[in-house]
Parts: sequence; C-alpha cells; structure tokens
Amino acid sequence: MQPEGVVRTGLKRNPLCRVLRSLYGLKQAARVWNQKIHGFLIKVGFVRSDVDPCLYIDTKRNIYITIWVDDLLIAQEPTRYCGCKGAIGWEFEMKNLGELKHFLGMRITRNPDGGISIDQSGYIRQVLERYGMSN
Amino acid sequence: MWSESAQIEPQSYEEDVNRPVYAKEWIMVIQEEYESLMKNGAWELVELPPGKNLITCKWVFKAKHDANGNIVRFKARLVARGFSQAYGIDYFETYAPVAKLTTYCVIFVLAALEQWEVHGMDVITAYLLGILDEEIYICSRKEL
Repeated sequence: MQPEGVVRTGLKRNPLCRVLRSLYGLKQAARVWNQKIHGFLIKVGFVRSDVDPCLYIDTKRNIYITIWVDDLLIAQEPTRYCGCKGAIGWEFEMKNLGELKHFLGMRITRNPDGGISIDQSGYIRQVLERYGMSN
Repeated sequence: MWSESAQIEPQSYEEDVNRPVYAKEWIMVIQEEYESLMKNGAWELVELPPGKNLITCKWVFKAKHDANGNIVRFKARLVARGFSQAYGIDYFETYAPVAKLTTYCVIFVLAALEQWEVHGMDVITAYLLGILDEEIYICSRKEL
C-alpha cells in the first residue's frame, strides 16, 4: 500500500522482497542449511564426531547419522529403529527412503550372510553408454 | 536426449506461460513451489533500502524421465542468481561440509558386524529451511 501523498506518477516503485529464508542458488544456501540441521541434531542429543563434521552419534541410544546436504543416513539396531524415527522427532518434512538401496550413486546390497556390499554398477553402465560401449 | 529436454523444459518463466507443450503441468509445479516458499516464510515484501544490493532470481524447470524416457515428474524451482551477490555484503562464509566417503564405509562395516539397519532419509526443500544472517533482497516481479 502506498501512503497517500507519496504516489509519484511515472515512477513505478515495485515493492521488493527481503529474503528471510535461504533460497536455492544463494552462495550461503548450503552453509545455512548445514547449520540448521547441526543445531537440530545437537538439540535432540546427538554429538558431532571429531573425526567427521557430518557424523553425529547418540551414544546412549547407539544411533549414527551422517549428513550429505539433504540426504541422511541412519544406522542403528533394528529393534530400536521404529522408535528412533519417532524419538528423533524431526522438525523438518522428511521423506523416508527405507532400507538403503542406492546412495550417492552407490548401490548398496545386503548379503544373505549379513554383510554389506557397495558398488557403482549403475554409474559404470552410464559411462559405457555414453561412450557407446554398452554392448 | 539433450535436444529433447530443451524442447520440453522452458528456459524462463515467460517462455513457460506461453508454451503450448505441457504449459498446464509447468504452471501447476510453479504454483506448488510457490506455495512451498510461502509456507516456509521465504520472504517479506519491503522497499529496497538505499545502498543495498539487489539479487536477481529466475525459475528453473526440469522434466524427470523414467528408464524408458517417459516424463514422470515436472519440477520447478525458484533460484537466486548467486553470481549477483557481493562478498562482504550479501554473503560471508559459504563452506558447508559433507560426510567423508570413509565415514560411510566405516558405518557400513559396523552395520554389517553388528547387524544394524541402515536407512536413508531425505529432507524436503532443505535449502528453504536455513535462516539467513545477511539481509538479501530479490526482485518481486509479477511472476512471484
């Protein structure tokens, strides 16, 4: 709303937006997001690892969380899993991807003996296709 | 593949609205993204104070395909043009860490040994959740 008396004809003054929340594309977008989730994890009882600033550990409940921008990995004992998602009480809107099958371009397979294999077969196929060597 | 994408994905908002192919779909995802911005309280309307820098922004469009090349999802995102930001005015520190690959390997080993479950979670519109310390102003154009 323009206050009366300050309407200047011929000079169109558009109101502008002051950005309060981070937007995609801003230089500091990744940083402010990282600070946000860091603050949250600390608040709910996680401790940031000295070894990796993106590894958070809850030693009491034995939960490990790693952060890759907006992709989180959560490792813990199966019996506690259902409880944990509720217990962490995420204050963000999250999409649960379930038991991890693909992560950062890696394929993750659980072997029958309980072991875990990781490979990049999808990426290899892509590269072969790109260079016309898929046959 | 790339030329096909270029035909489907508009390069600007103006192009999008006047585009006969999938115009309805693009407008719908713009609305969705706009609502998400509003819901998160992305900005407030103000006048530009003197001496402040104005950051431009634009819409970016992406059509997601499945393995057979069919379009499965339309995405629209409002992005700030970060290159119009000036260091010391619109931004200071920008570094953000990501987990090391070694950390993931160690967690996989622990999970295999201890028979843990490893689950993935994705934060929706993560970048809209961060709160800026700096005062940043973007254009409010008719499309916003």
